[in-house]
Amino acid sequence: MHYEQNLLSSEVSEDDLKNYPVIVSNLTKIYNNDIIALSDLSVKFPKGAVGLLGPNGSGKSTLIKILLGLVKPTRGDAWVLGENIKSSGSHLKWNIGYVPENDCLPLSLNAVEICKLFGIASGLSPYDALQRAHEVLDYVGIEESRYREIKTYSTGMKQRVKLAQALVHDPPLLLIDEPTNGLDPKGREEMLELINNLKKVGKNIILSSHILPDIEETCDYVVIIHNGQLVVVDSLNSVLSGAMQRILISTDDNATFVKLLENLGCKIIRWNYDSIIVDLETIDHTEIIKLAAKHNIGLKKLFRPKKSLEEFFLAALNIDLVSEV
Amino acid sequence: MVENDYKSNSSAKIYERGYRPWKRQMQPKKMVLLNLIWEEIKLIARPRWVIIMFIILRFLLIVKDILTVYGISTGFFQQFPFSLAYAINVGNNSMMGVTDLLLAYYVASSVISRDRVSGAYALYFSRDISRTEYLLVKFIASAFYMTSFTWLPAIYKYVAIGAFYDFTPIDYLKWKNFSLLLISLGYGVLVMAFLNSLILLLSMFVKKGWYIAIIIIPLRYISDTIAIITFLLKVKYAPLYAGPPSYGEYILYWAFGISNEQLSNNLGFQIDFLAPISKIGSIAFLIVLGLSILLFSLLYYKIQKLEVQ
Repeated sequence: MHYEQNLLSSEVSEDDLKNYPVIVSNLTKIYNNDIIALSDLSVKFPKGAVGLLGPNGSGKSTLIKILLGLVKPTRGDAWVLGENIKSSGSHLKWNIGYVPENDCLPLSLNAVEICKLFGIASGLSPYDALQRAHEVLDYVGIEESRYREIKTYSTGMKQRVKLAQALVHDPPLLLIDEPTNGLDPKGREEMLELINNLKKVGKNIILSSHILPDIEETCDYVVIIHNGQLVVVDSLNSVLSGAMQRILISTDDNATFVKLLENLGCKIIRWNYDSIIVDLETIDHTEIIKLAAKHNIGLKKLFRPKKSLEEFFLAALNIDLVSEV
Repeated sequence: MVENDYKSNSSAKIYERGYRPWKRQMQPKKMVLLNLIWEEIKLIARPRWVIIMFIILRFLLIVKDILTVYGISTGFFQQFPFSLAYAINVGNNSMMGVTDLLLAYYVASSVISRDRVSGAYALYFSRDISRTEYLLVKFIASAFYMTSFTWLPAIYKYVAIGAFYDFTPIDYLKWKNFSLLLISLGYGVLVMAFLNSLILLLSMFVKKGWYIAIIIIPLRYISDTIAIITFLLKVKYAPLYAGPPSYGEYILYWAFGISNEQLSNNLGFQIDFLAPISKIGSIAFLIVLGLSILLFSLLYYKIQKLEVQ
């Protein structure tokens, strides 16, 4: 478990309601009396961009649906921008923009019609909705093609229209589900740039993605849930700095060197004939150099690998890494 | 806050316009729903062929109905065999024609099918639109067209009949005449409620609106055939065996207060084997009303239980 303590308390104060755009407290959702999607989940989502991680079926989508009011929680509470989702009025949804993962755009309409329609559904007048539709389509980079039917669009263009319709009413909170699914590298880069830009203009973003580099490139905090329970909530910096506690070594005889290290009481995290990863809490790197020199073993590599979010994610879920760091 | 160094390394396009915030001026809920209904009405008519087809078919039906009214007023059709007279009598022409039904299927089924196939439910329900409001918006938008399919014929036939009987403008407004139009319009609402609920409900299960037409239009012909056969067999409640699509004229006869004798004279043959027309009409009315409520309730239930992805 890896927690920033003030982010996981189920106690909610007045200050918390001002400081955290999304708070869930003891949130539980049980489907059909036996499928537990969320179990006593308590977490505070800080301002800025927060990555929501978890394997399939972990409860991410259920959490997003509860925040959107699409699913009612079995127990517990949730607050969005200071308002309880159970007791808030219609204006709560004015404050949320939702970018679903699945296809959701009517294929026979064009981008302007879609943004206008959902602008109206969000509470804008038809005139304002049309004006705003053009603004957000400009922003996401849909130019002349905005008058073409959506069925002629590429996946990347559809993703950008999905983002545009979520921005049409200028909500302070965006719930974005798998925004780079199916995108080519350029499309992905453009989408991540848009998300980063939205973060810069002050939007609060909850980004659910299984593509961990997307989270690394856009988010300030990560929340990892598994089997409906909180596993991690922490700043991305803090999560990634955990990697500094290990060192990667490569020698001309790894098998022998591993035995020598083990004789010293050193903890080997894993090794193969290319590299050895050692826990730095059990040995100092100068001792490693001395050991290699003493036994005349050539050191080819010795460095502290940067931990990826993927490695951290798998470790947090107790899933063994198959690939090398 | 963590500052990612991603931006400095990005080679992605920088959007020159940047993000423009919106000064929030939100509409009251009633206005939101009215605006949505109007937007849906416009979107239904967006394919131009729908409008062109509607105008052509409606024009053809106007010509046909005027000829029918002329034929009845001159007694011409009474010389024809019973089935033909039955098929084109005034009451039957108040029903929606098959051609109109084709358009109705397109209209009613496209409004929900479009969202079902695309998954757009999620975008509506993530707004401040409840499932009940969603259903009302869709129902009223398609009802706008469905009602016009039944109201327009009633209105122009009223005008045409009046012209044959040399109505003055005041005659058109006299209650004894105008009430006949109101009855036809009321019947149009009932037909709309029944068909709209039925078609919207079916559209929850099919991917394309046309599939519904393929299912329902043959049923319409079958029910007409049953109506004729039971009539020929002189079954006492023959019209009721034919099913709701054929109930319309009997509901109108009941509403207009037409007796068996009057109808016999008008048709040119005796229908004294039938139970009183008023009784058949009132039962037919209750059945259509009950079915409309049942179908709408099923539709409501289905929308409430929708799984949103």
